[in-house]
Amino acid sequence: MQEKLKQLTLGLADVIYGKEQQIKLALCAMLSRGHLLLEDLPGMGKTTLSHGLAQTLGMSYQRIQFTSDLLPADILGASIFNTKEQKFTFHKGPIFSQIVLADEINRAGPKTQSALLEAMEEGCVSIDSERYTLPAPFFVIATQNPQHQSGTFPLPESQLDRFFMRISLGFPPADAEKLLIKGLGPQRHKIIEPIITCDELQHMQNQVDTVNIANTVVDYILALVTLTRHDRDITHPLSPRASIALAQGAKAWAFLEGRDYVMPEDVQAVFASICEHRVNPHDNYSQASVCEDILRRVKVPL
Amino acid sequence: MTNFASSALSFIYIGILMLLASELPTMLLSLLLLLCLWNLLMASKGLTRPATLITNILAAALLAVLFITVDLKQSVLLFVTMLLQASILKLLQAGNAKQQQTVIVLTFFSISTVFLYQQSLYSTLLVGLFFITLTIALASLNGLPTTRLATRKSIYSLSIAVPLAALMLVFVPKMPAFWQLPGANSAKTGLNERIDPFDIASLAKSDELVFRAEFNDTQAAPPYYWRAMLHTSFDGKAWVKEQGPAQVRQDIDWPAYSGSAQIYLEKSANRWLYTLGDGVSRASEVRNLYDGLLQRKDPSASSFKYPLRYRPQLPATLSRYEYQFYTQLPQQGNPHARRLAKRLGASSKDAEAFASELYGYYRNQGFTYTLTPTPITGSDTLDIFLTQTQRGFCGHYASVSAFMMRSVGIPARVVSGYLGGENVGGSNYLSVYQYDAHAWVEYHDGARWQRFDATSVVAPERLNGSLSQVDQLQQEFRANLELGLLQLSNFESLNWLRIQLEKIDYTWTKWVLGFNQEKQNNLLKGLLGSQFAQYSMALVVIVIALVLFIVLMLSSRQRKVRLSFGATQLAKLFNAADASALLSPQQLTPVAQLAYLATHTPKLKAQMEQISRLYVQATYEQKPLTNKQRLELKKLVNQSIKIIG
Repeated sequence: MQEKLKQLTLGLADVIYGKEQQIKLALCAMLSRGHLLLEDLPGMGKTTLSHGLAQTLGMSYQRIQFTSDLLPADILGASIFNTKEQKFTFHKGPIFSQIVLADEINRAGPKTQSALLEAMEEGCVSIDSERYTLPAPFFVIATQNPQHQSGTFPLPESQLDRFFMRISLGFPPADAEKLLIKGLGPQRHKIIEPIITCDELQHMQNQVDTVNIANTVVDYILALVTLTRHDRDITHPLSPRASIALAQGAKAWAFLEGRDYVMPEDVQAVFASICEHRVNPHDNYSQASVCEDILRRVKVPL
Repeated sequence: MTNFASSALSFIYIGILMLLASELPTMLLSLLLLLCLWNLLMASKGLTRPATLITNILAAALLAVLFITVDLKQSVLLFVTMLLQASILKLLQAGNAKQQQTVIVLTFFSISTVFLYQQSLYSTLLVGLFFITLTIALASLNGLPTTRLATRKSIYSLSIAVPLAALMLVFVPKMPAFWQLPGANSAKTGLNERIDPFDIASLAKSDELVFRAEFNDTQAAPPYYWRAMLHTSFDGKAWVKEQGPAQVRQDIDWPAYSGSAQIYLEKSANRWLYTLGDGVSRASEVRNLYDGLLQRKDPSASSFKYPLRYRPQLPATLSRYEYQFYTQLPQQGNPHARRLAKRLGASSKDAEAFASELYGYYRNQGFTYTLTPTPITGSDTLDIFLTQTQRGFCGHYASVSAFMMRSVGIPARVVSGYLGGENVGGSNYLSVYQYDAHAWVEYHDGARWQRFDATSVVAPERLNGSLSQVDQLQQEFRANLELGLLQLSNFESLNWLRIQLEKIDYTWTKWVLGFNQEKQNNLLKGLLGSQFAQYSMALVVIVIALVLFIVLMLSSRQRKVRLSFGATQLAKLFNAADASALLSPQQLTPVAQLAYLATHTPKLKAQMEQISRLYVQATYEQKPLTNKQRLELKKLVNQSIKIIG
């Protein structure tokens, strides 16, 4: 299993240069059965990463480009009257695939956004009082442009909370960018062989669940979230959903590190990605600096 | 962890099924065992659990099998089986810790159902083992990483529970059951209301305990004929027990009964009880019948104790009606037996003489005693026995003798019960087993009922004691017996062991299973004085309050957080390092802090690496340190502190 994981990371590193940390975080979200939010400026490789993930994992993949006039039915599908059979038949929308890339999610209106997030949370879609189960594993990678850009509808906190992780790719290191400019970087449309199968992924997800987490580490997670609840600089502290996600993310991280037990280091590694989008500090603080501050202030229990 | 718990649960259910194997229908039993094995396989291989649809289909199929194989009237068995079935199916589905905890809660009930059918010391020990295994599984699900730790925790918690249970057994006043499940399940005793001599052969194969008799002062002399039932009519093939309401004796001359004993009856679904000669009992649950027999009022299948008073049968004359009743036979059938009886009767003047003629006939014509007789089928079975096979056991001889006596007008009846009993290690009680089952004849000689036991001439040794003590038959008898400890009693030490176990089992039955309301009252009266009866409710409240108090005390003591050994050592080291200002100014994780110390204080490097390794093992991997490793960690920390200081 660990061998496969290494191959997977290497395969993805071929797709997107110099972003090992982000690749690992993305895998961590997948292993935790969580959805991923990529937030960055246009042209930073968000789409490339999600493409690469879908292809290396060998899963069915759909991309939905969100625009301000996109409607819920465009995502979920709709019942259409079939004149031959004289009845309505349901046509599945693009959401019925294992990996869904929701590109520029904050460009669509709130109604459409919540349709997607609803489906993410429930794992199924209800249309015309019929339930349609989404395929498993189901993994949404949403990208969004930074909020201050024009033409965006910011996702409300309640919906951001549904994303397991938010990561930003950031600018590539200079030498990686040099390769990109020279055209020696990964080809966008290069066909990548699937490295693991769906079953293997699910097996890995099950193995992550069996990773041991010691009481001291749980205490550490509790100390971290409790601090956000007593801090006056934070208007929206971390929810229990966040603490569960932290434990799960730390387990997945430990698994990626090849261990079957969690260390406080794992919690620290995933803390920023899991918690930044869930805390809401007062205006004069950025989310990132608040999270850094929390990590710095909480003593790791022995 | 979940796999460990799942396997442990599978083993528990296999054990429960094995204990209940004789109660459950074979098909259902094997299906449930298969499910357990399947679960064991899934747990050991870490396979994925079956889909809900599959378990639902399985559940429906099992329910169908249940209703086909189990009689709806056997409501206890029905409920027990449904509980077991539901728990095993739930176990099959339970893939995560939370679901398995539900199964564990169910299993506490499932295990207890064993006591509905088995209460002996051995099954109690097995049940204890199941509970230990179950709590180990529970402890491991709750995050105890190794089996050793989980076992320790389990035994610790159970050892708290045992004195509480003992306290409650002794002090919480016993009350009658609030409700009862409707009675008797399958009858399993060796006696049968119908004596068909070809039927009772299977008895010799069972070494199940039937009852124990404890003689109060003087032990009666052998042979012990334990009377249970009278078979008063012959239907052409078998002797059957007279049906209809039993006649209860009203006026009993208690002082005339000189012998007295306590009978500890094992669980049985039958009404009949056992007595020596003419017996009566003062126990309220016992009916005293005519002919000196005893019957149970409530035939529920639990173990039971009653005092017995007995005396030899007294002279009694038969009324005209009784004479007719005890001499009636079918008009036709078994002509040879009738002819033979006539011939023997011609040369004898009274019943007694006829009996000795009959004894002589059996002795001289080469009749033999065997536990494996040739099966006889068809009609006129008695004739075939008399003329052709001439080999049989008590049932054969009793049937034939009673038939022949009746055919010449001597009132006769077949009595079934047990003969003998094993006197364990010189104590004053007898254990009577299923293989002691016996049948004999009582005939009326005009003045009283006399015993006629043809076995006494065919196999005189049989009368001396239990069947197992008869040397001549031992080999044959053992070949018949299921593999049990008794089979190995040739070996001196094993026989000793068997007798010791028997003694322990006796004590268990007498003091724990026999601890009833009466005994408790006596004990409490002795402890608290005789006015106690008024305060029994208060006692319940006090005992329950006391138990709750103890539980609260124990649980509040548990709540204190203690630093683990590794953490205390590390805290010591960091304090020392902090005092010398060697620690990193930033908040670091313990492991990072150790690495920081190693890089910034190079002379500590070796120690820090070792400490880090041990600390990670103890705290994060949750593999407890061995004693050697603990010493090592302590030494390393002390060394480092010395270097820092």
